[in-house]
Amino acid sequence: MAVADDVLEPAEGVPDMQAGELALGVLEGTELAEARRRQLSDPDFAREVEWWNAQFGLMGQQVTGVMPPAGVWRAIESRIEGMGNHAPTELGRRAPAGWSIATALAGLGAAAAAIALYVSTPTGVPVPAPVPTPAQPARNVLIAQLSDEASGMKLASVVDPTAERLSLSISGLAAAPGKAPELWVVPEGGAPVSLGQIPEDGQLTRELSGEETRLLVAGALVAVTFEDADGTRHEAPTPPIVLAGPLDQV
Amino acid sequence: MESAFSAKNNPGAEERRKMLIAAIEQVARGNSAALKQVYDMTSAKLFGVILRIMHDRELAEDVLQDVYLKVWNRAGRFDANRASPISWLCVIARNAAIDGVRRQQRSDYLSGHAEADVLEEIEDDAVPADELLCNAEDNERMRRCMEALQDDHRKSIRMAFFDGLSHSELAERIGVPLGTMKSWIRRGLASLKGCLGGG
Repeated sequence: MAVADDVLEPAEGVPDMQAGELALGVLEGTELAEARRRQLSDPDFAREVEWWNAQFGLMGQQVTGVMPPAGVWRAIESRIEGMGNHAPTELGRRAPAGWSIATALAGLGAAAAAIALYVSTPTGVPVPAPVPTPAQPARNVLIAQLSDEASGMKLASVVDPTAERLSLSISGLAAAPGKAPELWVVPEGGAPVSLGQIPEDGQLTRELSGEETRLLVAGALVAVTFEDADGTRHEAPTPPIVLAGPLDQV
Repeated sequence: MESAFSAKNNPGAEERRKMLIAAIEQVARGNSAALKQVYDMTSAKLFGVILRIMHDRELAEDVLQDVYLKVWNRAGRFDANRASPISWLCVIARNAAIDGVRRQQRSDYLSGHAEADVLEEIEDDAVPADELLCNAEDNERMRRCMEALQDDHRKSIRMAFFDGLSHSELAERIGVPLGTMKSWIRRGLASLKGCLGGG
């Protein structure tokens, strides 16, 4: 429908409700992007989103329950067994098929698909022998594609939780003199945690600590800021967030 | 308001809630039997949430699988001091359903053609209302605060929540300009927040 007045009419006396709008899921486009950036950079805002989530969770319970068919649990069970015992095999099977972020993104929506970045697969990465460790269920590879068309900045991140490995493909993160790009992960509803400074351009692959792997899960946000180029991990990001986007399961 | 949304005190609810928290904590340690327990206690509720948004049984079943895989992977991040377990699970289910729908062509869903069929099916295997796993007082407070909203505001927020619609989709469905819809939602949320007294 063609809507002429897409500017919010002045709502005098109505406080900012963006956290509630984000939790409710009504935001789209630039408003959604702005709210996600706030969630990254403003811990108070992030807490408010969490509060709204808890409230709306109560509302969710009004929905009438419906028994799912028995096959759903069997499918979940076999997927978990598959993850626990065969995740490395699955990764190996994907690699020869020329797996790429571009391919993986085909189903992930128009915005993501518009990004023309290509990151080569971690083909040939030695995969540890399958060791089913119940305490650490193996997980799927995760990706985050971040880009800003205006500035040409792009970052593709591939997280392999099984191998505890992070691969980045970076371009155009031109920092001011004395500044360097720094990578952050923001758990849902949590405060940003630095993953360290990264190059302005090029490829980077490094091991992840167990703690970092635990944070880099589907739904967590990955973000980039420019910080003082001192090679350290900073406590908190300095606005503005120059790139941000969620990690998705491939 | 749905009869399911009853403030009736369910004597087993608090115990079930504790069992659910304990089960999620076991899932975080990789205990798949505990995941089955979480599934048995919550899958009907979450399937209802997903089905309401997705309007398609097959897709909803796939999303339900994904939700419990997410629970398996994320259980370590559940903090019982910060959220009730069923709220936490509902948020995961609802977000997964919204993601699923928004990744598809929305037009089929917006026409609402599937709604009648799905609702009929729901009648057949609806789960009794006393399966609530949450605090009845919190539930009742939310219900009262929603009822206290202006009709337009309440209707918009309910549709946004239960049907997973965005600002522009709501404006189209209800037939008001986008700016009006944004204003309704914002004012409704402000009233709701004032009534719930949090933030």
